[in-house]
Amino acid sequence: MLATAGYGGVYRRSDRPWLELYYQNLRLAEEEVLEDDVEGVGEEAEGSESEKDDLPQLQIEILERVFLKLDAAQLSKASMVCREWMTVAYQPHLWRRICLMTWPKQTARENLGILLDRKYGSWRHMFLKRPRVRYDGLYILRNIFYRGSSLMVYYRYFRFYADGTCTVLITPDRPEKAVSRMSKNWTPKGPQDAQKLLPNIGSYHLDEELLTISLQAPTYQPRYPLMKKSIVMYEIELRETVDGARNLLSVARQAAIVDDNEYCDYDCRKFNRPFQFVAFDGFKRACQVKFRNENIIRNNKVKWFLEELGKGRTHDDI
Amino acid sequence: MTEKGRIVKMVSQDQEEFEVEYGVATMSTLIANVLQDVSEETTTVPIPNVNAQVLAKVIEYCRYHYEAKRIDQSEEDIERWNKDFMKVDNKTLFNILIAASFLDIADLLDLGCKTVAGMIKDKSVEQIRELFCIEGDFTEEQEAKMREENNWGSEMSQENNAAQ
Repeated sequence: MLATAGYGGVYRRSDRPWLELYYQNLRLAEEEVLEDDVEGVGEEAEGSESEKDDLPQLQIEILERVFLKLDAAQLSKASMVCREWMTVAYQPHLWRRICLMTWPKQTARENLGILLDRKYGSWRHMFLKRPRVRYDGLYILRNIFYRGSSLMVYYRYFRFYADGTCTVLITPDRPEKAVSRMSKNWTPKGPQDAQKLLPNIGSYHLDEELLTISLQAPTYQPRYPLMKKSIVMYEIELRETVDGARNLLSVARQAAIVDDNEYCDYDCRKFNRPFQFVAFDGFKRACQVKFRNENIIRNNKVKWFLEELGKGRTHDDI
Repeated sequence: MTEKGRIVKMVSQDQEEFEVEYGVATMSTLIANVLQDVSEETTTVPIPNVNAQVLAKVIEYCRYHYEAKRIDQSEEDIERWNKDFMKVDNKTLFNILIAASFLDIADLLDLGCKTVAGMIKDKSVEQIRELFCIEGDFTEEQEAKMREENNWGSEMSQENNAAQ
């Protein structure tokens, strides 16, 4: 809402076609990732070949201790390495621990009750099948649109916590820059931070049967002291690209109560695409792939836009 | 003889001797147990499956932490030291971990496990196999099934599916 302030201004018709894109959501066409955009993966020294040859094997007891330090996505990944790792990683007590961290509002006993009642079969299967929202990263939606002839880009971020709270932020800042601020413990550190838009701390509830999240958060920004006090409510559908990933959120409805009495429903066109989940592991790299730097479009905007229209695509497609 | 002035001699696999203060040596629960069970005159403890290079590292760890506790070193300093201490090649790291497990030094074992867990974090399955020198031993069908069930956290699987 902040970044769209001024929405509704009137422009005269002109022969500048991009004006028609005003407040249309744009989508970057299938993106070809430039190798330079992405940082190297294994930046740490990994030892020379001769060292690798006689690398000692970790005993199962040690491996198990290592696995106790992993989160669910990492543990699932570890189970794919080899049979021995799978045997260690599939142990029920490791998944019990993860389930209890994922659903801490229920006691161990209540969680076990759910496991049995819904016939998940094991702690691991409960983790994979039971609806949940992910805590190990950010859900991100980028909006790109034209206001007049300028390209506007802003991001919406959601971060969920196991205790039922969440942080919500709308800002032009790219994910790499905004991610540290999404922590509930973040506090402004210097004058440069005072100008930044701050996340609002809200609360959410996941309806496991309907796979919907209702989320509410205030919109106060210290930077704009005169802004009306409001509480924004979202109805969000939880979706995924592969089983168990829980990596998409699509906002079905957004409404707000302003100054405790005025109620308003928002236009949800800006949510015609889902929020995408990006895990903290490899966050920077994933963001460079999924949210390619907008300057690329900025520099080519007219050329790119005319080309797209030339292909017979409508605004909505783009 | 009081425990304070007592010196313990630890002998590595390759017969190198390390003279260590009692308090430092007994950070290893194993050594503490051994010393409790033998007479006070006994001061030599053989560590048959840890070589000198690794044992030296382990003793370095124990000595620092023994001192840090004595002089009430700040948490941040200890953490920084631990981080630097873990900057070793993988072979040494794994050997320290195995030694810490054998000697039963809980904090060192925990630190090592955290470090290894950190190595797994942002790597792909293939990269982990390479890093740990492990051959994937699943059959093709098993591999496919494993991926179907366990690859939900991988960025790559999401990309592929989103493109479809």
